[in-house]
Amino acid sequence: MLNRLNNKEYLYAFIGIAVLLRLLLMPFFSHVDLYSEYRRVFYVLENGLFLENSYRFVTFWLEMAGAAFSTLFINVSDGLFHLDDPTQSTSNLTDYGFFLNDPNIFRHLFFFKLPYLIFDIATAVVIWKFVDNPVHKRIALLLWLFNPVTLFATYIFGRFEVFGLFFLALTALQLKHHKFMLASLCFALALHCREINLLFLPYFLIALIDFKDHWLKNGVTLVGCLILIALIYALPNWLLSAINGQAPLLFVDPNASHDMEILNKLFSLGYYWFYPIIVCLAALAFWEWENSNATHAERFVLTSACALFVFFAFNSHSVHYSSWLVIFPVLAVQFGRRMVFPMIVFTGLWVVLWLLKTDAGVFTLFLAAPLNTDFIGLGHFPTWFNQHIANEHLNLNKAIHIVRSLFLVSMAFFAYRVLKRD
Amino acid sequence: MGVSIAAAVSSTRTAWADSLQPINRINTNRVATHHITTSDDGSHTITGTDAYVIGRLDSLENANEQTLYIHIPEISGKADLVSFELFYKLITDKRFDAAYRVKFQAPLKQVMQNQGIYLSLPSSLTVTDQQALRLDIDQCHQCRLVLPKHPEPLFSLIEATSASITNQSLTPISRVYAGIAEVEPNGITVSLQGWNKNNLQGDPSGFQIDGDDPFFASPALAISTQDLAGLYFKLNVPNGNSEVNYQVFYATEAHQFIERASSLVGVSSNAGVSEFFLPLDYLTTQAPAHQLLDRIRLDIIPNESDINSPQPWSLQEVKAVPASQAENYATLKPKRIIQRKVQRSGKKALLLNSIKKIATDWPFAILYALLLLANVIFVVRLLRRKHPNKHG
Repeated sequence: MLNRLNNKEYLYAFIGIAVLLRLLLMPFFSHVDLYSEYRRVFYVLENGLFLENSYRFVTFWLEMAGAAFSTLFINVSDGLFHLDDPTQSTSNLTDYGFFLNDPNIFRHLFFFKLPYLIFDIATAVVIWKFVDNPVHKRIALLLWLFNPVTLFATYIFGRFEVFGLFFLALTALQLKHHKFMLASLCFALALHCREINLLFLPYFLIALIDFKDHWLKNGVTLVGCLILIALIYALPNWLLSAINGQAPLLFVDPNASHDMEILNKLFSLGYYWFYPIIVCLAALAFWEWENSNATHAERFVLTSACALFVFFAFNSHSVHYSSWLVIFPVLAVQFGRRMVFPMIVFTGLWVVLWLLKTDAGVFTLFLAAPLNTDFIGLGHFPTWFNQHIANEHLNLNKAIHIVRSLFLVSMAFFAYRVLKRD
Repeated sequence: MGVSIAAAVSSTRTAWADSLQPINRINTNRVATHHITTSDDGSHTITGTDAYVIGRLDSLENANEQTLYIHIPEISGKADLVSFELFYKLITDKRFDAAYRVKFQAPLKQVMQNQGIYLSLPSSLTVTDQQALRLDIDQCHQCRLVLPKHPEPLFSLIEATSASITNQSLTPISRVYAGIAEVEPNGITVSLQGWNKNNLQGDPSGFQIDGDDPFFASPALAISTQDLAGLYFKLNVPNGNSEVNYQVFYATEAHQFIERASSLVGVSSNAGVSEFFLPLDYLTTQAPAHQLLDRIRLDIIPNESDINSPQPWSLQEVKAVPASQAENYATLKPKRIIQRKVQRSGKKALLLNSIKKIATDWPFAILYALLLLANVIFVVRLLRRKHPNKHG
C-alpha cells in the first residue's frame, strides 16, 4: 500500500498518522514544568508585561501566541495560573495539583502543545525538503516523526524543545541553498529558543566558509552573518532596555544578569568530565575546517551532530534534553549516513537509562496525572528494580552506571556513523 | 490493638479464620488471646501490636447493673498508662464490630491496686449474659500480664453499690462508640455544637480569626461512608473575601487528622456566602475502603488581612450528602481543588475514572473525537487512493 503512494502522498499520509499519534498524547500527559512554563506565559499576558520579558524570547512569544489563542476556547479558572513571585516561577506540587484538577485541564494541555505540534510538523516538512534522495527522504521523515524521544519530550513531558530544533533544521536548509543571511537569521532565532544552541555557533560560522572562494569574500560573509546573528540575538534586550530602561528581568534570579544566566545554564549542567568535551569540540572544529570538500550544510549538520554526541557523552542532563540529539542525525541521512540502527540503540538505552534514573516524576506515571491524580506514585521503576532485580552484585547505582556507560557508547556509535563516509 | 482499628479488625479476621475459632475456644478455655504468649508459670506477655483477650461475660445476678469489672490481677510494663479498647458487639463468629467499642486508659498502678478495672458503662450501651467481649491492650509491647485462673471470669458485671467500688476506682471512659449513623436520603446535617477551635474567637455562628492556623474540629461523628457522597460546607465570609481557601481534614476509623487525608479547595464567594461540596465517595469505592467518617476539621487558610480583622465569619452549615443527592451538589464542587487521599483506584477503576474525567468536559471530548476521526479519515483515504505515479 505504501509503495503505491507517490512522495507527496507518502509525506501527507505519514504526517497524518504522526498528527494522530500526537493528538492522542497531547491533552493527557504533562510534567509540572509545562504548567510552570505557562504560568509565566499567563503572568505576562495577564499583566501586560510584554516588553519586560526577554526570557527565551522566541519560545516565549510563540507560547504566548498559543496561550492567547487558547483563551478563545477556555474560560480560565480564576487564580489557576496565579504567580506570587515571578522570580520563583517554578510551580510547587500544590499549585500543580490545582491545575491537575481544573475542569479545563485537557483543553489547556491541548492548546499548550498546539504550537509544539505546528513546529514539529513544520520540522518534518523542512526535513523532507532538505533530503533529496526519495528513499532517504522517507527514512529521515519516519525517524523524525516516530522517534520516541521527541514524542516523549514534546507531548508527554511537554517541553518546547521542538522550536529550537525547527530553527536549526531551517538553518541547515538555508545553508543547503546557500542562503547564508537567511541561515544566520534562523540560527539567531534558534539561539532565542534554547541556550544550548550556542554550542553550534563555531561550526555554523566555519560552515559558512567556502574554501574555493577568495578569503575576502569569505571574510565579508562571515562578518556579515556574525553581525546579523549578534544583532538579532541582542535585539530584544536592546529594544526592551531602550523602551523600559534597565527593568529587572522576569522569571530569573535578580542577582544574575541575563547573559550570565545563559552561560550558567550552558555550563552548569553537571559534567561528568569537562576536559574531553573541550578537546573533542575543538577537534571537531578542525575536522570541519579540513573537510573543505563537503557542502556548507553537510559540514554544519555533521559537526553539530557530533558536538551534541560529545556533549551528551560527558554530561548529566534532563530526560527531555535528549531530544536535541535527534535533529542532526536525521538531517545527516541526506548525506548518506546510516542513522536508523544508531537511533534504535540510542532510543533503547535512553528508555532504560531513564527508567533507572527517574525520580518520582520524570519517567513515571506521574506524567499521566492529568488523567487521574491516582497515577501519581505509580510506575516508579527504581522501586521495582530494587524489589525484583537488585542483589548484592547489582544494585541500582551500579545498574545506572552500566547503562550510562552504554549510553556513552551509543553516542560513540552515532559519531562513528555520522563521520564515516560510505 | 496497637496500630489502628482497621488493622485490628483485619488481623482479627485473619487470626480467627486461621485457627482461633473464638467462641468454641472461649467455651472451653474461658479466654482466647491474640499476640499474647503464655509462659510456664501461667503469666502472659504481649508480643505483638494487636494484643487482645476475648472472654465471655459472667452470669448476671442483677440485669440492671452496668458496672463492668475486668479482672486483670497483674499487669506490668514500661509505660505508666495503658490504653484499652473494649469491643462489645460480635458481628459474626469471626469479627467484632469496630463501631461498637469503648476506649479508656488506666494507670498501671491503679490496675494493680484495684486488682482489675472498673468501668461504669453508659446506659446506651447494653451487655448481656454470656456475651463475648474483647479487650484490646494498646501499645504495651512486652508488658507482662496475669489473667484470672479458670473458673474466675475475666469480665463480670457487679453491683454499682458494691463496697469495693469507689469513685476513685472507677476508670473513666474516654470515648464510647455505639454504632454508626447511616447517611439518610436527605443527608445528615452535622451539629455545630461542641466543635473544638484553634486561632478563632467566638463560636461557629460568629467568629473572628486571631491566628494563622484557624480551624474548627468536629466532635466524633461516626457517620457511615457506605452511602456518603461527600460533605457540604456553607460559611458566611466577610465582604471583600471573594476567594477563600480552605483545607478539610477528615478522620476515619483508620486514621486521625492527617495531611494525606485532606483536601485543599479554593472557593469563590458570592454575596458573602462561601459554600462548597467536597466529594468523599472514594472512601468506599477505592482501596483501602474506610467505613467510618469519624471527625472532620475545617481549616480556613487566611490572608494576612483576615487575621485579627473585626469582621465576623460564620460557619452556617455542614452536611453529609448522600450518593442520591450528589448530582444536586456537583456544581458546588470547587474548581480549585486538590484531594489528598489514602485511597487509590484499582487498575480498572483508574481507567474508568480517567475516561469519566475526559467525558466531564464533554464539549471538548466531542470536538477532540471529531478531530481524531477527521484525521483518521484523511489518512485512510490517502492510503487507499490508487495512484499510478510512484514518485511525484
